[in-house]
Amino acid sequence: MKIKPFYAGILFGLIFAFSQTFLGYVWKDAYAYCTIGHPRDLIFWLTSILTSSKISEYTLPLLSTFGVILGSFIASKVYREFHIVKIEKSNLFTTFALGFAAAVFGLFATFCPIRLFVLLSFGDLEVLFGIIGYTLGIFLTIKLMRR
Amino acid sequence: MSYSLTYFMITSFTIGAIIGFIGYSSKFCTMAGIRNLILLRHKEVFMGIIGIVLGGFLCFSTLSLINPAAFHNFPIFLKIKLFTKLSKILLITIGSLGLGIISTYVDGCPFRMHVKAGSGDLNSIIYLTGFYTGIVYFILFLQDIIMSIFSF
Repeated sequence: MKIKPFYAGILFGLIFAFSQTFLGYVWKDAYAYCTIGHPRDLIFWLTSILTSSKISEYTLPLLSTFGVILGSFIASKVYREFHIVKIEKSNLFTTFALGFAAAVFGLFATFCPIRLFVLLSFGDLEVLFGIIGYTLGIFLTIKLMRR
Repeated sequence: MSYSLTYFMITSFTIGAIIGFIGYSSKFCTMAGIRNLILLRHKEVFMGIIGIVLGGFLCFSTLSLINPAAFHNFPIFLKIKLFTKLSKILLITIGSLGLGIISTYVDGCPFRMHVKAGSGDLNSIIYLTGFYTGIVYFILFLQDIIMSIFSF
C-alpha cells in the first residue's frame, strides 16, 4: 500500500467537499462521485439523446467511473504492477450475473458503498439502514462461505 | 445551472481519475474493510471507512463556511425531515444488503471492481459488463415496476 487507507478516506472526503464547494456539484448532496448514480445519469442522458425524450437539467453525462478505470490503470503503470489477469471461463456467466445483480441492488439503494459513508458524514441518518444492510450482507456471506 | 455538459464530463472524469489513482494506491475497499474487521480483526482497510466519514465531516463542515450556498442541506438531519417514507428505507436496506452479499462474493465493492479492471483484471471487466448491462436493464424495464411496488 502506497497510501494508507485512512489517508485515502480523508482524501476522498476532501474531494467530495471540494467538488461541492468549488466545482458546482451542488444539485445533490455529496454527489462528486458515485459508482451507481453517475453511470445511471450517463445512461439516462444517452437514452434521452437517442429517444429525444425530455429529462431533468440535472441528469448529466458524468464519466467518473471511466475516470476511475483510467486512474487505476495509470497508478498500476506508475507502480509497475500492471498485469493481465486472465478470465476464469468457468465463472464467466456467474461474474456477469453478479455484476448485473450488483447494479440492480445498487439502484434499489440509489448509492454506492463509498457514497453511503460520505452521506453519513454529510449527516444523512437514513443511510444508517444502508450501513446495517451492507454490513449484514457481508456478515451473512462470510458465514455462508465458511460452511 | 451555469456550467456546460462538457464541463461536467471533463471534471467528473478527472475526479474519477484522481479517486481511481488513490483507490489503487491505497487498496481502498469498503467491503474488504468490514470483512477483514469481522473475519480477521484487521483494522487497516477499515480505517479507510473511518477516514472517509471523518474526513468527509471535517471537510464538509470547514468548506460549508466558505460557500454556505453549496451546503444548504448540511447537516441533513437538521435540515430535512428524515425517516418519513418507509418505502425509501426498505429500498435502501434491501439494496445495501444485496450489495453487501454480492461484493463479498466477488471480493470487491463496485468501486474496487472498477479499480481492478483498470489494473488489468479481465474478470472485473466481465463483472463491469454485467454491471452496466444491469443499469441499462433497470432503467428500461425495472424502474417503473419497482416504483409502483414501493410507492407507499
